[in-house]
Amino acid sequence: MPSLLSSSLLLGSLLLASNACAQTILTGTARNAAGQPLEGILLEVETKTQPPASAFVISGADGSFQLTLPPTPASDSLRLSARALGYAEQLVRLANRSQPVALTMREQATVLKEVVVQGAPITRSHDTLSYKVEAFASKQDRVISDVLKKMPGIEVASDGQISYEGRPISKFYINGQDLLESRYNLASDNLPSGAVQSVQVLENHQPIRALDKLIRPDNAALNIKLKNKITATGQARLGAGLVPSPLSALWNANVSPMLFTKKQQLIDTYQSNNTGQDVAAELKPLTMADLQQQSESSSQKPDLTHIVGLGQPPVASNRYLFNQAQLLSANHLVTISKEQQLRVNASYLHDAQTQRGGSQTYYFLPDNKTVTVTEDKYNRLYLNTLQTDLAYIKNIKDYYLKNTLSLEGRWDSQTGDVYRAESGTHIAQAARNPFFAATNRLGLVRPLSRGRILQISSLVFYTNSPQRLAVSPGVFAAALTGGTPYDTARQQVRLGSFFTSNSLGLTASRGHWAYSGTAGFSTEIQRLTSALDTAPVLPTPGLPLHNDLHWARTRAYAQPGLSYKADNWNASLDAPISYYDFVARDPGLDAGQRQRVLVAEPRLSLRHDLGALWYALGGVGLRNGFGDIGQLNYAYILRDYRTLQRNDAPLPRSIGQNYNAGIYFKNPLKSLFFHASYSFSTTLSNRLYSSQVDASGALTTVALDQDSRRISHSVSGNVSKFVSPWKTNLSLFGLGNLSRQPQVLNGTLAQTTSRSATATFKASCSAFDWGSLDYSATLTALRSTVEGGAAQPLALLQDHHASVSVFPVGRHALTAAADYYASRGPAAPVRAVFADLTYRYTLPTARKIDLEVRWNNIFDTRQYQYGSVSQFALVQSTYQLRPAQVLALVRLSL
Amino acid sequence: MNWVKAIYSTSICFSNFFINITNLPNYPVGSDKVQIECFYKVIFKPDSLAPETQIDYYTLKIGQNISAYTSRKNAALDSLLNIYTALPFTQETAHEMTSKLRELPLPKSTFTVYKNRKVNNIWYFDKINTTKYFYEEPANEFNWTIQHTKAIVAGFSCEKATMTFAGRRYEAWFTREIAVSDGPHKFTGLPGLIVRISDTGNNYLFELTKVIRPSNPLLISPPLEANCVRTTKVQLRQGQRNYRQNGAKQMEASGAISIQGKSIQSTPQSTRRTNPLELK
Repeated sequence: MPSLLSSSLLLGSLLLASNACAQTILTGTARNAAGQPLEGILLEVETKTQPPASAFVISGADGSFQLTLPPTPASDSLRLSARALGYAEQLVRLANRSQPVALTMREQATVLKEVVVQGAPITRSHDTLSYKVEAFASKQDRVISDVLKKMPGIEVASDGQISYEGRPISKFYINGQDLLESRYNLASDNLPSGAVQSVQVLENHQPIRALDKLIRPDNAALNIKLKNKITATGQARLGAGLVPSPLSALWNANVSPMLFTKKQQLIDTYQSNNTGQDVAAELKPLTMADLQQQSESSSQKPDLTHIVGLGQPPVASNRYLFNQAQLLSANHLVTISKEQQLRVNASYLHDAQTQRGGSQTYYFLPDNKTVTVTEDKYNRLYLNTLQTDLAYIKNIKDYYLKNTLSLEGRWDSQTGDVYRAESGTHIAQAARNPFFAATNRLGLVRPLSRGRILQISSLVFYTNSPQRLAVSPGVFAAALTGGTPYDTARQQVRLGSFFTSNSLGLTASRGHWAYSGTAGFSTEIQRLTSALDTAPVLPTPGLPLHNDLHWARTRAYAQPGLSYKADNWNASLDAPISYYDFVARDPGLDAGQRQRVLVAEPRLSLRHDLGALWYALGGVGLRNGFGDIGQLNYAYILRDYRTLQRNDAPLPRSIGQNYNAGIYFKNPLKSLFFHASYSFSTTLSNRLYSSQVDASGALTTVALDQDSRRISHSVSGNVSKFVSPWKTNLSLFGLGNLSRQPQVLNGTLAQTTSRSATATFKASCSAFDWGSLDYSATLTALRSTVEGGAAQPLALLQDHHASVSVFPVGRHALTAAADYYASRGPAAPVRAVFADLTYRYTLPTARKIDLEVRWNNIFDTRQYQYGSVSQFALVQSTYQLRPAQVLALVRLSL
Repeated sequence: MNWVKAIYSTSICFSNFFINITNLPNYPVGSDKVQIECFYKVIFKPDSLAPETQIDYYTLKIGQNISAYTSRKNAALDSLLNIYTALPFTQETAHEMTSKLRELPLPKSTFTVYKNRKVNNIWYFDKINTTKYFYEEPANEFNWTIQHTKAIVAGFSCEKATMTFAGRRYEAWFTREIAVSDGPHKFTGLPGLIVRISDTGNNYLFELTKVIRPSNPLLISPPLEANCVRTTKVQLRQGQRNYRQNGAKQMEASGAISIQGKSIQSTPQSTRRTNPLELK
């Protein structure tokens, strides 16, 4: 055996040696008929044996080639082929030996054969991707948003907003119908996933059919296709719990039945809780309106007079909201014909909220004095809101027409008790502030020839808000009654508004340029009446206390716009020119004014790309601001128990210049992002505010007819990095603000400066399959100074949040979260710690049932403190928080 | 005189140095006229353990020196731009272009593979978010074995060839009837066009569906080098994986997006497997 092996090895090496000697090398140059060398010719040589030996090369730039062929298997002749597109194939027979070859290629049009396609090609229909829900749904999934979260490309944010490939969706259709418009939380959170056949993603969806081939939005829309033609479904969630101290019961209920048929769709919901869950979030709009409308007047409820509030602390609302909420919402869509729809969305919200807390307000006066106002507050707010939208939509290829009539009624009232530590007084406040509004919006879009688009929009509304405030004991006695104490101050104030805005727009584009033009007019007619009385009725010498202000504002405008887009540059210029006419008249006080002005407000913005990773943004603009009726009252109005306000000055007008620049770096490959930006603004205003703070902290503000300038600088920067081995995201954000403005304080004109700086660090780690870890910390420093006054102490606030989510086996999920908060500064240092724990278990039953236990505020932290700074005041507010509570929830689909 | 010489010689040294630096990594510069355009249908398994397959459509444009392989939408977009930048720009052409754009299918992938026969190199271009990256590879790494097994595939007389690339074993059918040494994705180096290629595990199958000579003059124009960032295959794949898994969080941390003032919630890590064409 060994000898055989060695001999065969010997034979092999001999053969190899002879091979090396005998390999065939063909060299040459491929040329065309004119003798020019040809590049890129495929040259292949092969022996006549079975199987053949072969070699393949492509001719180089000078047409030369070299083919090397192994000597085995032995063959006496070779076949050389030369092929290239546009040339006839050359076949040459050669003897099997190394030799130079001359090749001349003859030009010939290559005939391309038809490809024979095997099987029917599967085509995906245009812009529609279809996801089969069953492929993604798992046992834990209850509602459609649970399944959406798992579909590739789809993300669901914590507030319910759905994004596809990073961009929020524009529409949430059910069986092709837009029942809920922007308030789709109601459906995505309540529609059981079992009822859904498939989810379609309509990429680059244009909801307005008339613009279908003209404008392709970046955003996608979702269409939920249900399994059955007639589907009756929904879900129910019931929860009960308790607060150990003081012992009280908690409830949380949500019943949402739904019905979908070909001709109509219906989603109703009833929700109630006292656990601090803000049910109004269910009605929050999550998408933009199809058509944007210009409106310089607001149809929101005005704030004319009110009790002193507590504000909102920057923590999650379920920590501080003491509520008893009931929400009833009905949404009904009727299809009249294929292109016409009628829709009604109505909701009624009732909430009784209580707020407890306190605030310390430090007024820093120019004479080096500080007035401190300490208030302990107990407020009760009653909210009753009825909202109805009635919409008619015709959406066809030739045009888009939508008319929405909205009616809103609010019956709100507030009562508040304040204890003033400095004077040892109790003050009772009671306010009623109902509000009524009727609004009609009309939008029409019509494409014209050659890509031009005409848009018409019209907005009309009427609102009325009669408000009342009563404060006992009577305040501002020195000013109102000449120092005589009295029982109650009563303020009545009513604002009625009529507003209409109508515009006509045309857009077109040509090459790198896009043009747009809008022309329109608006009119606002308002009447403000008010009366401030004392009870018992006492003479109020001298002071004007009754307003009857008639206000009219008309604006006519033309707004040309131009934008240019090239490879590395983007520039856009908007130059609205407006003519304003203001008339204000108070016949009772024989006061009034009129102003007519023509203003231009040009704004230029630029973007320049600096290579692949950097870009810079810049902008410059001029802005004209005009006051509204809220800043004009010739007689005094008691805004709250310690603010008596009169605005007897020319209509506020401001001219502001804005400059901003920023530089941005993004390298997603290295997961490194950076940006820094700076903005500067200077605003010249024709008003100077004069405030009088007395020793008790009562504030009287009047507007003086004098120019004042406010300047403000702002710098911000952000850097973030993803560390891939640890799957950890780190980011650091910094923001600095400085603003200066003059202010008359207790008769002295002084420059006030406020400075603030914020730094935020965030880390988020998901290195393990079974859980994730998040941490964030914010440090805020605030300082406010008045020229000539003493240096004020720096207020420092710290926030830390950490949370751990664990997903152990199967049906269990556990989340623990902790917050730490600390502040020091003018007030006593405060520290607070919160912790929450949530555990969820899914029952192994056929019908999907979830059990969830939430233990909130484990350490039973009762207070939260927050500071805010204005030009001459620092406010430190203390909020009472919800105590420790445990809630058990069960959720099932109907 | 000596110092003049000294300066002269050092300047030569420097210039040589710079020439070396700029010449070593190649870039597919310039543009090339398309001779033929090949259309491929790609059937693949997004998850190696699940039987479900997906389909995507690609085009391979072949010029004298350069070829470009990309998803149909990307290619169609480029060629539309090529056509319309050549035409006088009027309202009509703008309108026509928008309506043409509208009719294009949408891509699942954003990459383009350029091959240059002259320097025998492959450039792989892709973007992460909106930033463009590319890496370069030699094109002669494919160690094809021609099997001398013949068959008619898709109407062409084909021959079988096999090789191993990036962790998968492939079986290709190429035809000498189309005299170009090219194929889908990075595959090249056979004495004819690849008509059909699949891996032995049936994870990826590329099939030729159409070959045409473009009726309008088309150009292959690689993006400007100044707008792209050079990287390596390993880094690009790592970056894409990070972006896929954590893109939203990264964007949020960079301040580029914020979702209604709230933080993006942590969800259980995606357990879905991915099945890339190149395993290594």
